[in-house]
Amino acid sequence: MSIDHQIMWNRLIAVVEEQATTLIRTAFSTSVREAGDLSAGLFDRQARMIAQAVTGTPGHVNAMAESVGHFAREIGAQEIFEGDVYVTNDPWMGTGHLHDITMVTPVFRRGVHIGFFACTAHVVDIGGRGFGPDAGEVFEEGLLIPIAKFAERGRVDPLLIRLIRANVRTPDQTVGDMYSLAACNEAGNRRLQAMLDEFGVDDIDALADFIIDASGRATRAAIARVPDGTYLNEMRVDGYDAPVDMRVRLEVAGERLVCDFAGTSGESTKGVNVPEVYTRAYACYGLKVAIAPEVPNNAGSLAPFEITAPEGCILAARRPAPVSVRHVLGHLVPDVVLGALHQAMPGVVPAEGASSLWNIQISARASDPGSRLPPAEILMFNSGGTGARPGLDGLSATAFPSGVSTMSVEATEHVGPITVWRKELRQGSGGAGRTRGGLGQVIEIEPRAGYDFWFNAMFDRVENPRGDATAGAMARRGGWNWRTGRRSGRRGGSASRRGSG
Amino acid sequence: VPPGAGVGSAIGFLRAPFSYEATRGLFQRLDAFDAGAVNAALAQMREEAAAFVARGAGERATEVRLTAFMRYSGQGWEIGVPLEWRAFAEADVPAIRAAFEAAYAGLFGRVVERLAVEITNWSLVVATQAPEVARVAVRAGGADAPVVRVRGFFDAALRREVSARRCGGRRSCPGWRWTGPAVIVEDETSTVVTSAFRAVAQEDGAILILRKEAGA
Repeated sequence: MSIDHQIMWNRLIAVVEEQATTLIRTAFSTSVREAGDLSAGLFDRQARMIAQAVTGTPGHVNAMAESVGHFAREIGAQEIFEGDVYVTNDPWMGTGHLHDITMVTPVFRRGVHIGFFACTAHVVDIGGRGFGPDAGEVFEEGLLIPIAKFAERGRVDPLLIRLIRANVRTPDQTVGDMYSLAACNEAGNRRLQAMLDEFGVDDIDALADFIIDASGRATRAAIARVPDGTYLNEMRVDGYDAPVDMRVRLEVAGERLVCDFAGTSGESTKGVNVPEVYTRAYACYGLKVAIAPEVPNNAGSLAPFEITAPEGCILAARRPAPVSVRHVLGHLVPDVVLGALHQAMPGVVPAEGASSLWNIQISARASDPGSRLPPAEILMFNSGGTGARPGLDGLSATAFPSGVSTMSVEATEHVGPITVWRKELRQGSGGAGRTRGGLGQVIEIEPRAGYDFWFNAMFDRVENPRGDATAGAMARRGGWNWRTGRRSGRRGGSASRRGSG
Repeated sequence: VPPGAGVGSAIGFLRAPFSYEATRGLFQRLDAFDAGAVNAALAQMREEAAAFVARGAGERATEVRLTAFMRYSGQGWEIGVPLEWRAFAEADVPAIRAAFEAAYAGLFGRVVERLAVEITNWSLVVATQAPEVARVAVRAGGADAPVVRVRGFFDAALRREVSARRCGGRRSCPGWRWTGPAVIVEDETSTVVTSAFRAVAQEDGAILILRKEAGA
């Protein structure tokens, strides 16, 4: 009955939100517990996502939505037992790079397998060269855990844990986060079981059909409201060692929307490549927030967006291309897609913004190895400004499209021996215009006494900060410069008005 | 449904024990547990809380509840772990860890092996003891309660509007009985009894609601 289904649907959103909160409460990495770089969701037994926690980041959510199908296939129905927990960080099966660990727990009800809980989190270290773009192949980027059983019938695999502990710089944190991922699925399962008790049902098949049908219908109706046509856009960004051209072609015909990245630059030799699953995740996010923002995110609302990138381009990199910092270009995908959509729906989409998270992975080491000061890995997420909006300025130092929070300075300083001397908005960095871009920020970081640090810089829009060349205002450059003595990284928000200014 | 359920928080406030919670940030890793420092802090907290409670409660008997906020080293959030309040010794560390792991497993399903555990904050509550509750015999039923008028409500289980007896007055009399669908209207509280239930007023003013097929 549809009222019951609607009530249960709302309840499921609360269930997966509790799942995400458990992950935050038990996580070891600041990227999860402070920034919310995670996703959590419930899937039916056909591996279709039916509910997703609002807390989370699109690259995880929409990629995880595909990944559960890989788990179901690779593990196989005969090998799925109550008490199992599965794991992978395969960039092409999970969420695009080795640092993201996805864990899947099958849901059983009276001995029958009825669905899956899944969640993803970014861990601080996964071995290899560390989080950065400099590897030539994925093998250098760290430990790849193929789809495997983290636990079978409730028993954690001790060999897997030893393998991971032996291959990462932060064994306690990385393994601790895997436990917290398993705990978060467990918390979701408990709430789901209570809900099924209350409503006196033993499976979620009818509910899943209801959710997916309703969401699919609403999404297709929203696409039908977009004027038919073919819309093109391209955007040049820095890439690693050569500029990257991202090209998109949107075709809208009735309820159908096809988004194709043909013509985009080829793979890079370095780790800025993007597995196609991650490109699809962000392209879909960009389209959905503009076209059907009110429809809950699930398999039904994701399916109507047909997104493809030619294999071998930088947005559909092939194994074993390096992909560690796939988010840098991935976060720019919505900008290029929204630029095309702007032609169909003027006055809706924001201008291009800083978009890519300004991530900095700091490795702090004792200046004198004899001092025995412990090493530390510190990951900080920061953001420039978002693009100007049609009727409002952009948001300053705000992560769009990734939607993760900035970690507090205190939490970051607690993790490692660094001092953040400055973290302040960069005045004037939003550019000029009727509405302006959000402000970027200036951050100044120093190692504490007894330590040196090195870091991997993962920034874009330094050389190619501009948005649309036809816009009157030119954005300021994002960038970073160096001074001797105190080290400082700088980043501006880059934004300009798009279109009718 | 207790008497005055509609204003339950006000009544609860008036009947709550006198209590005071003293809190203190005192970081302790269990592998470097300083029992002396902890005991000194807890003694101060006990004194602070007891002095405050004594001003309201006089000589009434009190109890002490101790909670340690604990986490695995490296986590950012703690969980509350109830501990027995007493003077600690270094030898108590395994028991404290066991209490943490029991609480952690209860919340999150499984513990993390081999990780260091730490305490960040302490909470110590001194409270007067709640009086013993006088037990009354359950009444299974009596006379049907007088009907004031008939009104309708939507019975979610039946998915239709039902016609219900509206009964009430200032207070229900012990032994009065209602068979759902019914609405019991008292001064501060309206109790809706859906079609699947019946209700009986008890000696202490509470209303006991039972499934129709269940015995009392």
